[in-house]
Amino acid sequence: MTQVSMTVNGGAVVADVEPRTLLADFLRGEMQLTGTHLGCEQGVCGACTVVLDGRIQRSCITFAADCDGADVTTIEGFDDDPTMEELREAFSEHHALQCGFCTPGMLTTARDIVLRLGDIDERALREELSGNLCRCTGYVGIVAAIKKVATGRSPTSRPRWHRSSSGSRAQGCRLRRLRRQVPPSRGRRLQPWQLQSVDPRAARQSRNGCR
Amino acid sequence: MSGDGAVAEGIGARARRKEDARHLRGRGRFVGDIHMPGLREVAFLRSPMAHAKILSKTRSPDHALDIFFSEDLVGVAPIVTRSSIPGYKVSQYPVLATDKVRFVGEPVAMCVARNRAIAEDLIEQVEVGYDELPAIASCAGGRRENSELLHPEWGDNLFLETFFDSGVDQIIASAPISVELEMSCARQTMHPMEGKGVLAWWDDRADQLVVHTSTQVPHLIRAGLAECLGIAQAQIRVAPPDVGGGFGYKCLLQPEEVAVAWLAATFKKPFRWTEDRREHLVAGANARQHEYHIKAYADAQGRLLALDAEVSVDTGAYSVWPFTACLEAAQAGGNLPGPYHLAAYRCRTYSVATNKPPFAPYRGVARPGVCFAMEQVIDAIAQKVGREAWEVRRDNLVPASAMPYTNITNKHYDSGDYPEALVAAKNMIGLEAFRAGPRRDDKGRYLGIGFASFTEQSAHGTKVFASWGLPLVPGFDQAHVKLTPDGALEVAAGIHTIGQGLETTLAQIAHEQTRVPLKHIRVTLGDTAMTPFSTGAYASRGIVMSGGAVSRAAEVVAGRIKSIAAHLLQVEPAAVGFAEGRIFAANASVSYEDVGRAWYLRPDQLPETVNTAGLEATEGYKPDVDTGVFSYATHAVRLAVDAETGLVEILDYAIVEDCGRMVNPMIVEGQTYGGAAQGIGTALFEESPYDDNAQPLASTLLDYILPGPTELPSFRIDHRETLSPYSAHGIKGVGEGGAIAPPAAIVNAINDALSPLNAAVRQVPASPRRIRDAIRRARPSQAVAPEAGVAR
Repeated sequence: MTQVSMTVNGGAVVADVEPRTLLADFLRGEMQLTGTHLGCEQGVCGACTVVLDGRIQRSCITFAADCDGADVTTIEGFDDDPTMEELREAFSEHHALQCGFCTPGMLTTARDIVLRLGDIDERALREELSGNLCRCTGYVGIVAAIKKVATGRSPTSRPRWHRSSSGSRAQGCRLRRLRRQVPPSRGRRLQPWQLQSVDPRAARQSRNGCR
Repeated sequence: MSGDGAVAEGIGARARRKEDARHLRGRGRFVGDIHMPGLREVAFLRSPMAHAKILSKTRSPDHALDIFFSEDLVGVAPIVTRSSIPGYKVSQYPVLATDKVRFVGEPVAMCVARNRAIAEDLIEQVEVGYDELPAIASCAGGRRENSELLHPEWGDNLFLETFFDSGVDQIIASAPISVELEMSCARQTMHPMEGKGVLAWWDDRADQLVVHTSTQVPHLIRAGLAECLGIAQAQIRVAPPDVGGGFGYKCLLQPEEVAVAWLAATFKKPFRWTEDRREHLVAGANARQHEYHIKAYADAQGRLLALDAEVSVDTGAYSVWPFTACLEAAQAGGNLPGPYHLAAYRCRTYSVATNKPPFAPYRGVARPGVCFAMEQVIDAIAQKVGREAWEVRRDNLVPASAMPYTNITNKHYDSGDYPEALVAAKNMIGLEAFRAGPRRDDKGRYLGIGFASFTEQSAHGTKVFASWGLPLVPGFDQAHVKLTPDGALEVAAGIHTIGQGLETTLAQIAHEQTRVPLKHIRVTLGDTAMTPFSTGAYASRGIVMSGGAVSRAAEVVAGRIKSIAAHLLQVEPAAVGFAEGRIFAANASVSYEDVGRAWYLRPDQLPETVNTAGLEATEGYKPDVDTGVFSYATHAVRLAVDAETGLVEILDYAIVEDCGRMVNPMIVEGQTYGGAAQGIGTALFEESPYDDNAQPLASTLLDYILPGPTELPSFRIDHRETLSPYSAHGIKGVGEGGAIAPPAAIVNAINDALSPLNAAVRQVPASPRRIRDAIRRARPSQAVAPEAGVAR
C-alpha cells in the first residue's frame, strides 16, 4: 500500500492505495465518484477522462499512486463550472447524448477544447475530439454542441488549469496526446503499455495504412 | 383533443430529453456504479481454445467457496433455445463449460472476491487441462465433408438449412441478362460503450432474487433466469438500471447473467460481474458475418426477373436465448428482395455452427448484410445494361401506387413512396453535377457516388416471430398510466431505455392524450416489479408497441380525468376539454391537481356513479395488422478512394428517410445518425478477424477500429412522413434503419469510383488492403475479369 494525498473536486483526500490501483478505480470505488466511466480500460475510448493538474487525462491508465499531490477534477466537480453549464445546455439542445455512458468523458474533453482553443473549425474540432468514442450519436450532436459553445470564443491564454502553453499543435497530434497521458511537470516515466494505447486516432490511421 | 400546446410537447415536438439531466452531471446509474455493502465482484476464467475437450479442472481446496466450476452450480440448467421450425437443431449452452469448450472466451470457471482485481488474481489459481480438437473457423469449414462436429449428436454442423423457391427455372432460362456475385461481411462486435454487466442480490424481505442487469429485455430475462435456475418467476425481480447502449447485444440471456444470479440466490449476498472490453471483443464477437452467392436475372432495361441466392451465416457455437440460431438466416432469406418488386425468387440459407461466440441479432439483424448484397446486385445489373444505377433502382422499387404491397416473401409493405426517397437522395447528393465533373480529384483520388435503398421492418408482431419459430413470441405490449393526487402523470412500461430516449418519447405520447405538461410526466421503465409486461426493446419496436400501449392507457385515463373534471365543473363530460395545462368547460376550469385530489383525498366531492377504476389504467397494444410497419430510406454517399493506399474518405452523406409519424424528430435524427455511424463502421472499419484455428485476432480497440469523430461525415438528412395505416398515430420504428444502408451505399460508391480501373470490392469492411487487392486483381487485364465478385 502507498499513501497518496490528492485534491479531488476541491477536497483534500488522503488514502492508502495498492500500487496497481488505477485512478479510475480509486475514484469510482473509494471515492464513489461513479460519473467517471470505464468503457475500455485500454486507454482508447476516453469515457474515463478527468482533469488532472489542468490537463485532460485517461484515468483508466493512470495509477492512483502516481497522483500524489495531484489536483483531480471529475465530472461531479464541474457542477458549478460555467463553461460546463454551457456545454450541458448545448449537449441537451443538440441531442449530443443518447445512452449517456460516454458523456462525462466527452464533456470533460469538450470543455478542454473550448477553453484551450476557442473557436475552431469543424475539422480541427473533430481532430481534437478524436480520443473520445461515442457509439450512439455518430458525433453529429456532440460536434454541433461544442461548436455552439466555442463559437466566438477566444482561447483562454494560459488558463489556471492548463500549465503548459508551449506550441503543442506544432508537435503534432500524436505527441500532444502522448504528453497528455503523463501528469505534467513530474517527470514520471511513461509505462510501455501506455505508449501503446495513447492515440486511437493515430493508431487507427497507421493500422488503416498498413492493412 | 383540443389543441393548445400540442406540438410544443406532444407528438412531433423536438422536446429535450428527460434522460439528459442525470447523464450530463455524471449521475446516471449503470450496473458498475452501484455500491452495496458486502458486494463481491466476479471474474470468469475463459477458454483459451476454440474447440477442446476438458480433461481436468482443479483448484486448491482453500478456494471451494470463491472459485466455481459447472459441477458446483447445482440445479442450474444450460441455456436451451428451441425453435418450432422443422429441422432446427438445439444446442445446450452451458452456463460454465462442462466437458467441452466450443469458442475462445467461453466461461469455464467463476471466481469471486471483494474486488475485480483480486477476482482476476484468483483465476491464476485454476488449472484446466484441455485436449484440443480441430476448430471450425468458417462456414465452408463447418460444411465440409467429415469436418469436426461441434455437437456430435447432430450429425453435421448445421443449426438449420432452409430452402425457398417460388419457381425460377423457366425465367432463368429465358432471361436476357444475368449477373453473378459473391459477397461477404466480416464478423463484428457490437460495442455498446458500457459492456454487459449484472449485479444480483437476495432481498430477504421480499424473498426475491433481485437482478440489476444491463439489458434491453428485463421481462424476458426474468423468464430466462427462472428457467435456468429453477426459481419461480414471482421470486425474481429484474430491475435494470441505466443501460449504456444495447444494439442487440443486451437482448440475450447470457451465461454470466445466470451464473451471477445463481451466486446471489445460493449465497444470499450481492455479486456483480461487469464485462470488460477485452471480454467483449473476444467472447462477444457475435454479429454480421454472412456470405452471399447470388445470381440475378433481368431484362435488357435492368428490370429484375428473378433472384437465385445462397446465404450462409457463421452462426457460432451455440444458440443465443431467446432469438435462436436461425433468426439471422431467416431474416436474411426473407429480406433479401428488399424494397423491390420481384416475381421469382429462390433462396437457400445455411446457419452453420462454428467455433466462435454465439451469433446475436445486431442492430438491423441480417438486413445490413442483405442490403449490402442486394444493392450491389442492382448496381451490377445497371453496369451490365449500361444505365445509371439509380435509374435501375427506381424502375425496380415498389411504387407508391402499389401500396400496401405484399412481396414475394410475404412482407407486407404498409405505406410509403420508395422511388421518391431515392430521387430525393439522388438530388441531395448532386449526382448530375458530379457526373458532369472529373472522375478524379486534385490529389488523384478516384471519386464515386453510391446509393442504397431499403425497408426497415419495425415492430414485427406476433405472426412474424411465430413464423421464425421463436420460443418467446411478442404479443401485446403493456403500459400503465396513472394521475397522482397532485396532478402529475406516472407512466410505467416494461420496455427498457437504452439510450433511445423512451423516457421522453413515451411522455410525449402520454402528453398528447392527456395534455399534462411534459415536465409533470414521469416515466418508469423496465423494472419487473414496477412495470407491466413488455417483451422488450428490440426490432425497432419500442415506440410503436410501448408507444401504442401508453397512448391507449393515457387515452383511458384522459377520459376518466374528464369525467371527474366534468363533475367538479358541473357539466357533461363531452363539454370538457384540455387546454393550457388545465381542464376547461367553456370559461370555467379545474386543474389536474383538483381532479387528482378529488379522487384520492376528497372522494366526498365525487358522485356515487364515479368509475371505481380510478385515475389509472393498464392497457395492452399491438398494431391492427401485426406483420410489422415498414420504414424505408435511401442513403447516398459521395467519396474519394486513394488507389495507392486504399484509403477512403467520405465527402458527403445524404439520407432521405421515412419512419411515419415522428414522435420526436430530434430523436429520429439521433437514431438515424447513430445507426449510420455504426453502418459506416461495418462498411469501412470494424472486423473481428479469426485465424484458421478460430483464435480471435482483435482484443483491444486498437485492433478493432470503432469509427471516431474524424472518420465520420457530417450527415445530411431529409424526412418524409408517410403514416402507417396500421399503427397508433401512424408511427413506425426507426431504431435500426440507419445501420442498414451504409455498407451497401459505401461499397457501391467505392465500386463506382473504381469503375475506370474495372475493380470492385465485394467484402466489408472495405479496408485499404481489400481495396488495394481489388485494384491489383483488376490490373492484369483491363478487360472484364471473371474472378469471384465481378459481374459477368
